[in-house]
Amino acid sequence: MSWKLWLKSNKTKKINLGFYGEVNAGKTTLANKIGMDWASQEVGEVSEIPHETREIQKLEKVKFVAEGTNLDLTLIDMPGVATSVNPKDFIKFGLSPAEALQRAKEATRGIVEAIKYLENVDVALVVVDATKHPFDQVNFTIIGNLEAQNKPFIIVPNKVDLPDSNAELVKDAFSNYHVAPISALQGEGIYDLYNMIASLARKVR
Amino acid sequence: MSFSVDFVPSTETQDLSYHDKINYILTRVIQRSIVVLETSLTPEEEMGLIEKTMKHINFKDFNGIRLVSFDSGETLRRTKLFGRSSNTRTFTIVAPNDAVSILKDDRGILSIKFNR
Ligand SMILES: Nc1nc2c(ncn2[C@@H]2O[C@H](COP(=O)(O)OP(=O)(O)O)[C@@H](O)[C@H]2O)c(=O)[nH]1
Ligand SMILES: [Mg+2]
Repeated sequence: MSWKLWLKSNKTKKINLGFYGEVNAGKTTLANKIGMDWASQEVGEVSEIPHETREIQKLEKVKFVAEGTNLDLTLIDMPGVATSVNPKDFIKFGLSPAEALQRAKEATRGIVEAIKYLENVDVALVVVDATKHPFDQVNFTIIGNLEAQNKPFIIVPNKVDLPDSNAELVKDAFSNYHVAPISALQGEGIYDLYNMIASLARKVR
Repeated sequence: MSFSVDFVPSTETQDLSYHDKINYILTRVIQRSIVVLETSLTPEEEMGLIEKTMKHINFKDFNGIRLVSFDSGETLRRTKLFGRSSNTRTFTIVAPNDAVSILKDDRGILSIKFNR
């Protein structure tokens, strides 16, 4: 290998890694896992209450190495994309009507922000809750837009630690894409995902 | 609360610009119509529709939409053989979120339940 090639292959590449997907799929849990593994820092708050992430959260300068590829990642955790937001969904979790309304308003703004930010993402992780039916239109809408913008992405069926998860069904539904099933909570499958991120990142720019 | 179901032929929407198409659909849905479009929406149009929907939600009589595209049998067959292709021939249903529940199973059967 010539020294120029060698330099090039070892140069740290800056990559904006965006976390997309439905509400509560585990985007923040995964962003935190990656942040902790590579930078000993979390990105945001995780909650069982939908729309916990209502603003884009970033963690910069995450030094990541996999398959000999050095990356300088910016983790960009997005609000979950939804086609509707109903304050009633939060009242169930004990929020007051005023708090629920405030959360709902912030959630709608967050969704717009997440959509607008797509163009700044270099590689996207589309996190899918593997315990749910994978035919939610939102997943296809996100994937269709990533394809239209030529953004490399990985479909990440999450929560495979749960007994009612079905990663195979998600794999079937998205059979001609890169798919990496994981448990963001327990770490299962995470190294395969890291290798996949590295190989997609190599092709960026 | 009553809803109507509007079946919209492709001739209605084919000449509309991106923004006009989104407005056309959303105006009807906000006025409590379940819109069945003969054409499929592009991913960009779907995303634009979601974005616009978020700006129109008022937490009173409009909490958002349900958006489902129907895959033709031919599309489903090709999907089985070759994986999902983005150029799918479908029609599209856009409904007020509280009007219906839409279920889609892995055989491609779309079932719409009307709420009362
Ligand atoms: N069992 C299990 N639960 C998970 C996993 N990842 C996330 N969760 C839970 O799912 C809920 C939503 O997670 P969060 O990361 O906030 O989802 P987000 O809305 O996509 O950011 C929380 O209660 C998490 O603890 C996982 O891998 N396994
Ligand atoms: Mg989150």
